[in-house]
Amino acid sequence: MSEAVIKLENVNIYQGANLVLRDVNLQVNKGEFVYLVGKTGTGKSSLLKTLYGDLPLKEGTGHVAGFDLKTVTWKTVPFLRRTLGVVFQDFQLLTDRNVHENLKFVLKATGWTDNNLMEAKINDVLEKVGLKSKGFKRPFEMSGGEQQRIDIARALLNSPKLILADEPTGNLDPETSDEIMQLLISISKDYDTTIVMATHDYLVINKYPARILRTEGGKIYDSANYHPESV
Amino acid sequence: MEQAGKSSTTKRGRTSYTMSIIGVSLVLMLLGAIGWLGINYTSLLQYYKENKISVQVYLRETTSEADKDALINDLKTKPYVKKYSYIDKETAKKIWSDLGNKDFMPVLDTNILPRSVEFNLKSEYVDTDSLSKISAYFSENSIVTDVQYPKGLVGDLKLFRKIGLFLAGIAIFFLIAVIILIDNTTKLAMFSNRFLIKTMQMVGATRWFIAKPFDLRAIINGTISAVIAIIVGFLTLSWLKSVIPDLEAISNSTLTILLAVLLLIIGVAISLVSTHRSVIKYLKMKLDDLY
Ligand SMILES: Nc1ncnc2c1ncn2[C@@H]1O[C@H](COP(=O)(O)OP(=O)(O)OP(=O)(O)O)[C@@H](O)[C@H]1O
Ligand SMILES: [Mg+2]
Repeated sequence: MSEAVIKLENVNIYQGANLVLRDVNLQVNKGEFVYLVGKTGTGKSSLLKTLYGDLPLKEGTGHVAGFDLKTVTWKTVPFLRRTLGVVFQDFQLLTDRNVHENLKFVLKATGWTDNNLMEAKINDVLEKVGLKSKGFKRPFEMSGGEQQRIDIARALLNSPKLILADEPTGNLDPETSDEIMQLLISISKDYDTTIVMATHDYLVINKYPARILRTEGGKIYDSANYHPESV
Repeated sequence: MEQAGKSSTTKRGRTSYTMSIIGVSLVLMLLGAIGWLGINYTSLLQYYKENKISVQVYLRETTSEADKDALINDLKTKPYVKKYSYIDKETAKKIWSDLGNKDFMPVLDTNILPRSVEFNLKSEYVDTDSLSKISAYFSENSIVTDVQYPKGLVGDLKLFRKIGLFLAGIAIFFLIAVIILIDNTTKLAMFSNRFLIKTMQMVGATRWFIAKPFDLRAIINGTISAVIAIIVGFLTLSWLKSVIPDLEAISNSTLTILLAVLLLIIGVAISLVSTHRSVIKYLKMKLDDLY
């Protein structure tokens, strides 16, 4: 029996009054790695935003990491977000503080109070992304690849069941993209973390094949339910 | 370009910041004035009735000294008399010219001003009924030509209540202005911290956590406003006491200190509640849409 981390049934996703994706039925299980592809403007980010409670679920039913998206409110959204890690391009590190302070800020914001535990956690996630010695650096003193690793480290802070990544390799050269992919895949394997990653990068998909969700014409096609016309 | 935009936002932020502090101060000063009037309402009213409302009894030109003394002796026995004074022709003339009137002596060659007895009433007798009875009593006396008292003022003893209402009106106006100002200040502060706030939202900080630094700042600002208002209030009060020495006895200092404490609480409350309300309001919006 596989445990569903994401389960959407008959979901319609709106941006304002526009129906972006209709009749979405989707299950993603614990430890799965899933790509989300599709042309610009077809709703990849909208789907991810629905999953982390930024776009309200208006139609259909949805569950993410045990939270019912239909009943999640401003009071409970923070707790949904603590069970998942978000790596988004428009969610950057704070430039006015170093890496260590960035990570500590997130821990404090999510209710951590014990200083020793916080230090241990920061070391732990920096080690996981291979940047243990870079805690003192400011974000702009690091390469794009290093910054992306720190973004991932930040997403790992609250030991998430699910990581949502929106084009995490978007601005990186192929070699660095490769390193980031290896990191994400190893996190998924080692900690049984579910990862949903939106990308335009077919090189990456070819090299690290996995289940693919494709957005097109207002619908989602899933490589798991093989349709000849959709894969 | 971005730098210029940022510093102008900071400047705007600081200006509206200072203005909200001053605004809350103004509201508190007005509330303080209303509160002080309220606290001392009874004694102020008594002071007003016993000092500002007097009855003038004008004597006939031909009245003899003996008749005049009889009238004064009669007056002395009346329970409603607080204090009285006899005004002879010379004093009347002096009062007349002190009021800024021209000396008539060169024209008329004689002092036409009548002698009079002026008295103040105990406050419990200052009402229309008692005054008309008292007035009638003295009018019956054959040596009296006329009895006068400020009829309009007696009927209009709601003066302090009116002042209070007027101040309350201004206070409400300022309060609304202050809430708008604080809202704008909060909006600016949130916009300039939008990356920080967005980070907190994305990782799952609660609204209370995000609002905490704004709330703390609001408590500090409210305290500053209250301290300003209390200092200005006390300075004004001691100035008033130096101008109107009687106020010293009227003003209740224990209650005035309690009033100052109350103003501090109200100042913090206004600042905190309106800031918190604005923070929550803007957290419900997308931060990038704030401007
Ligand atoms: N904040 C918004 N308000 C209104 N409409 C939006 C908003 N964000 C996106 N949209 C619209 O919703 C549709 C889906 O956008 P979305 O960002 O989900 O696409 P995407 O697949 O992530 O595209 P990309 O590959 O460019 O990131 C688009 O038509 C877009 O214009
Ligand atoms: Mg997108």
